[in-house]
Formats: sequence, C-alpha cells, structure tokens
Amino acid sequence: MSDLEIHAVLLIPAFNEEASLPGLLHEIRDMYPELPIVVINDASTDSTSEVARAADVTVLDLPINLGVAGAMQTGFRWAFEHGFAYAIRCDSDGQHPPSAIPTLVQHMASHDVDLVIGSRFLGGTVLSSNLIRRIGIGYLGIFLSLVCRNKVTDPTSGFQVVNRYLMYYFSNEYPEDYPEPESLALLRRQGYTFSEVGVPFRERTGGTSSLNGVRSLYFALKVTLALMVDRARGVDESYARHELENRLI
Amino acid sequence: MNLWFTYGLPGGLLILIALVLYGQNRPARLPAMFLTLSGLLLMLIPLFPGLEKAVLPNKIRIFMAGLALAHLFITLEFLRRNTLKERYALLWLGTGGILLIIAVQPDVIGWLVSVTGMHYTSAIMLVVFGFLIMIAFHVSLILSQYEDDRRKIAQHISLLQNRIDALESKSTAAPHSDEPSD
Repeated sequence: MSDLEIHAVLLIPAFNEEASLPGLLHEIRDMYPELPIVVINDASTDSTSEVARAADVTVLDLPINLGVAGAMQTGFRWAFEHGFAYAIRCDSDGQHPPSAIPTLVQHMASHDVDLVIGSRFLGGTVLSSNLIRRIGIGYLGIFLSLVCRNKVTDPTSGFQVVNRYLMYYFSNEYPEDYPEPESLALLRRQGYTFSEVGVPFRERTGGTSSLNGVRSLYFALKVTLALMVDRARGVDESYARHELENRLI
Repeated sequence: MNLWFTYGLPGGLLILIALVLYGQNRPARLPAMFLTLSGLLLMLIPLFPGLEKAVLPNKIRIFMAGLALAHLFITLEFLRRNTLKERYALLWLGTGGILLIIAVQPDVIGWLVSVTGMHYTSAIMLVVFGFLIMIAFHVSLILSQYEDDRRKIAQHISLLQNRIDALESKSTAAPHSDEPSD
C-alpha cells in the first residue's frame, strides 16, 4: 500500500462540487494518508476551490471552463511533470469508491496493461432503467469492443488508472467532450493496452449524470463519428512505446 | 404615381439614411454622399418617366452594382479602422468584387447560366452562396484553432499558478523569510 502512495497520484476533476468534495477528500485522506491528491477545479462558480484547499490537497484552478476532458488533461500533465508512475482518475461525485483504488493499481501491475478501467457492470451494478440510456451505453460498449479488439463493458467509466506512457500521451492528445470511450480507441491505435476490473460503484452524492435520455443518443452518435474519424487519421509514431521508452522512464 | 412608388420611395429612403449619416457625431461623409447620389438618381426617374426605358432591362445589374459597392465599402472601412484583419477580409472582398464584375459585365456569368440552365439572378445567387459557404467554413476552421489555443493557455495558466503557489508556500515556510505570512 505504501508503494502505491509513493508512486501514484489521485486526480479529481471537479466542477461545482462544493457539496460532495469535502466528504470524499476526507474519506480518501483517512484511507491513504500519504496519497497525493490533485483537484482540478474546472472554473467552478461555487467554492469548490476553497473547500479543496481547506482539505489541504493540491488544487489546479482553470481560469475558464474546459469540460472534464480539458480538466483531466491538465491533471495528466501535472502528474507527468511531477514524475508519478500512476495517475488515478476518480470523479468528485462520490460514485467511485476510494477503497477500490489498490485493486485498480494491482490489476495494472499483474496484467501488464497501460490503463485499467473500473467497470461498474463487472462490479455488479445493474444498468439504469432508462431504456434510451441503456441502448446508448450498450451499443457503445459493443462498438468500442470491436474497434479496440478488447472487451469493454463500461465505456463511460471515469474510474481509471494510467501509467506514465499514457500520462504523457493524454497530456498531449486527449479527446474533447466525452473523452472516456474515445481515449480507449486512441490508446489502442497507438499500440497500448487496457483492461477492465469490476468495481462496485456507489450512489452519487451530488449532481446527476450528464448522460440522460436524448443526451446519451447524441453521445453515442458523437463518439461513433469520433471513433471512425480516428481510424481515418494516421498513427502518431512519436507517441509509440518504443519512442517514449528512452525519454520517459 | 406608380413610378413614385417604385423609384421615388426607395430614393427618398436612401436620402433619409444619408441625412442620418450626416447628422452623426463623426459623420460618415463618403457613404452618405454615395447614398444621396443614388437616392437623387432614383428620384430622377419619376420626374422624367422617359428614363425608365433605359433602366428597366438593367434593373438587376444596377441594384447588384449598388449592393456590391456598398459591400466593398463597408469591408474596406472596417479594414481601415483595424476592426477587421486582412486575413479574414480577403474572402469578403472577393465576394464583393465578383458581384461587381458580374453587375458590370454580365457575360462573365453567361457560362454558368448556359451550363446550369439557371436564370441570371439564380446564377448570381449561386456564386454568392458559394462564397458565403467558404466564409462560414473558414470561420469554423479559425474557431477550432482558437478553441485549441484557448484550452492550452488555460491549462498552462493553472499549472503556472500551481507552481507559484508552491513557491510562495515554500518561501513563507523558510526561516529567513521576512515576508509576513498570511
């Protein structure tokens, strides 16, 4: 466990999360007193930045709202520049149980992959009752699994761990809008690997899912287009593992 | 009476707009003169009804020429005032120039008319539409670039701010620091 706390950093993107953030930060602190925590405040209009600073964690304040992708990219860059071996991403709404963090990191080491996704569906969560949402996410899981040639059950999960290669890659190239599914396809295309591990998600303590009803259909459509456009683009050899091996580690 | 309605009324309106332009704090003299002249020319037609015979077959061309001149003038004026950059003005100037050329020399568009079987006016609209599409696409390209730049700048600022915070907390924690800590 201490090994994890030395080499890993926890990245939490937050937009107007003053209600749920203090509880989550204290929970994490109690569990892993030495684990560095970075809250990326995506230009919140409430006191997200202040409550995070009060909890004595590193806060990156974005001057303008960039969305979760832009916020995460900032976090990846910070983690990369500070020399961390693993960056764990965890949402601020309390859905992602901090107790599962060691599971994710250990899974990465034991399966020798570059990214690990905490999958709520492998973790026993039943898919939401909203039919449109179910169709959207279900379709995306199948499509993404085909594109990646790697099974994806939870394409929208933001509970992830990445290693240094992907920290560097994502801090330079990260999809906009809904980054989770597209980033999986991108990393596969660059020759990297990922794997899922089951994690029981919790009820969110604040906010609502950004993917409800018609939004999830738009989401599926947008990501499908993005995935096809990505295929049409060339592979950027400068981010290939053999290129980065000498420079990064 | 009918002539006053078709020519006199728009002519009067143009002169009215010209008067408004004259009356401003910083009078826009050139466009006001242009408008006054066009308005007076229009007023001449109901006064001398014989003139209408000369105008009638070329009505569209005259209208187009006036529009193109106004368009070119506005674009150039914004360029002169430094509120529009040359880079973004080129396509607008192109649109105005083509409109003017078509108005002065309608044979230019004759080829398009014979190929597509469209009317003269529809062919002009097609050309203008093509230019507008190009301009809109050009703007989308610029917008995408700017969004990218904006994202990078914001991320850079937040990382710099973080380094400043770290440096400041280090210097206030240092024993020899005489900075008052807050």
